[in-house]
Amino acid sequence: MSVLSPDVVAGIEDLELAARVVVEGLRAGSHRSPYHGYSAEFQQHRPYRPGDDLKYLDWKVLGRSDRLYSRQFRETTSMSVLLLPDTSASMGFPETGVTKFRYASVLAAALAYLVTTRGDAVGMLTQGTRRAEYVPARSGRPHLQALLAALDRLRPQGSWDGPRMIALAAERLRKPGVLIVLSDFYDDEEATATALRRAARAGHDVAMLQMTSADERSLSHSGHLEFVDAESGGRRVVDATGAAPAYAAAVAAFHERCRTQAHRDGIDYALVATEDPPAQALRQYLLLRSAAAPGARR
Amino acid sequence: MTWLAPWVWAGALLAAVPVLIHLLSRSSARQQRFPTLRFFDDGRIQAVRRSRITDLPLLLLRVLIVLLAVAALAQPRLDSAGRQAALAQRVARIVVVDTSASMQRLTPAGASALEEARHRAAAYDGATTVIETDDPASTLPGATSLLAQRSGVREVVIISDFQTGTLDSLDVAALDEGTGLQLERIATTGDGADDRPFRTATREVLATAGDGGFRWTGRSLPADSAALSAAHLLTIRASDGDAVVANAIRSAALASAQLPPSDRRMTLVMPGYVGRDSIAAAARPVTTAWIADAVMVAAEDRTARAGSTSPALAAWPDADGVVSVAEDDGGMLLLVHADAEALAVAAVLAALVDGAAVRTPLRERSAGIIEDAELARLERAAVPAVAGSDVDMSDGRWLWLAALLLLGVEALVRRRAVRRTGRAT
Repeated sequence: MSVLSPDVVAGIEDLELAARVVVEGLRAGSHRSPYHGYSAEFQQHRPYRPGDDLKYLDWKVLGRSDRLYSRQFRETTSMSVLLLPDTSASMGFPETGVTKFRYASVLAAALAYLVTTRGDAVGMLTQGTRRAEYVPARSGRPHLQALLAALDRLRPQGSWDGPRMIALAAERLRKPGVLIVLSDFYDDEEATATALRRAARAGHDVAMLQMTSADERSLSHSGHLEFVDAESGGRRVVDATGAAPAYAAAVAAFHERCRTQAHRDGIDYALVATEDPPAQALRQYLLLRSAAAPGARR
Repeated sequence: MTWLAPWVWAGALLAAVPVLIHLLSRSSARQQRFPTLRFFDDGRIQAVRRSRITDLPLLLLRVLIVLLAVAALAQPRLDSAGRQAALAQRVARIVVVDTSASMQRLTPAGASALEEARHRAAAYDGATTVIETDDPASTLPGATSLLAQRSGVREVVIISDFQTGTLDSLDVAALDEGTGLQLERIATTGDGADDRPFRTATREVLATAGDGGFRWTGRSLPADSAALSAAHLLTIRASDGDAVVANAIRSAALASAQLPPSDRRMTLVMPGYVGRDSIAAAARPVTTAWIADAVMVAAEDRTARAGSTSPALAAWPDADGVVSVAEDDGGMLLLVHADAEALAVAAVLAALVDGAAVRTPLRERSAGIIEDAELARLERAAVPAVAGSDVDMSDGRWLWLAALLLLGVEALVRRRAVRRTGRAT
């Protein structure tokens, strides 16, 4: 399998193309896609009642037995996936190479592509430059293109009210659906966990894709540095060399905390590093879904 | 405690340099945008505060090192009692001996003033430099700079007859403050007049300065007179009653304007003198400078040349002129030949005496002297043991040592700081 490096994938301007590259790379892999071959499944017959759509009338049974039966299917197109990419300024890192935001965009696009090709509905809710930007979950290629265009317009800036966005998304999905949050989760940890838990309890299938980069997991800087918070503008003069071990430990502890919290609340969790190929990250998530909650699949 | 170079303390401003570096290096921490500061809130990460107390000892050490170095450069000297005493004992002295023409005059003791002056100069002991000059005042600036390199009490002594114009207060002003000035007068006989005995074997000729030149008077002496002294300039050896001699001396007295110094002896040997052959045999060719100069002057003299049929004066021993010049024991030996005429001998003699005489500078012609009161006013005492005259006795080396030790301590402290915080300061 050709492992497409994040640099190459993120370098593709067209988000749809990037998504397709990621997904095709996934399909070409040795692992079977857990969604592959998913299609409308016949469930049962039931007597026709006036008002039933004639396209569900089983004509063959009518021809054989002259009785009217409607075919009933498992609900296949009702799965709605809502993507929640984090647009805060902290996602605009690392400053060199692929940013977490671009990586998350590619990942979101790939997920949208995957969902669309399966016939499900995909939408997006995020914080735009001025107000919340909401693309309702729909299926179909034209919708996908519109969604990708909206995704492409996003830029990492300002802050992102994660808890509010998650709560909003949980409300917007009328039926139980899938919420995929792509963020570094550097926001209010407690509030975010609460919002995610509520969304999960509301019946949604919630997933945390925690974005991270090597530059953030460990301090590669040396000497005295004045660190400026990209979002709050706060400053802290830190001796980078001396603080590196404690910093790395703190980050690792944070990730571990997020993971255990997610596990406890029945939330899918994947730590996505920008150094890994997007296809690998995507597969990691999908495998997690199929393994962790097989019964939850719809 | 005395500072030999106190102006170096201006360098204490350098102590601000470590402080500035400290402040600048701290405020110039590079800025780094970062996704979040939440992980720096970890208890193990100590934020670098604006005023780090941990660096203060290091900063103080560095400032102290700079100050010590500056103090050492300012050359401190601990003025212990022993050192003060040693300083007072050290005397740097320059003795200036006046050698001007007027110093050729005689003292009441009979020696020339110059000889007396040299004698007195030799009497000074210790770090004394003797300078002989015909213009003492002009040596004072040089003496000042020479003394500036010496340590201890500094003093200039001028030994002179102090004729008018020798020294004035402006000259004294050229001396450094604190440098003493001592003026020693050599008293000469008959200041302003010039009395000097000329003694011959047969006649004593006394030259007295009067209106319109010297007045020469002569009287007979015993031929074997042993009372010839170095002060007696001219010895004429001749048979008593020689008319030529009397005429020659009289004529020379008329022609000669001034007298030679007393250490320039002249011997005139007349043809009829009994010891003439032995004197001639002992004579040597001329090598002494002043004799050669006198011969040169005499050769230039028109009267001497006109009165002489053969003016080859210096061509001893094969001269056949009126007078032959030779040298004996540092004096001028004049051999008058047998056929000499009185006038020619007188002319040559006068010319030689003139030539041997020291040219008196114009300003010394008026033979006034500086009053004692004026000299007393010009004199001043040396300031004893002024601290600060020492260049070589600074105690700065101990400060250097302390600075070096502190440098070592600083290195230790810095290394410990690096080990503790894992960073370079």
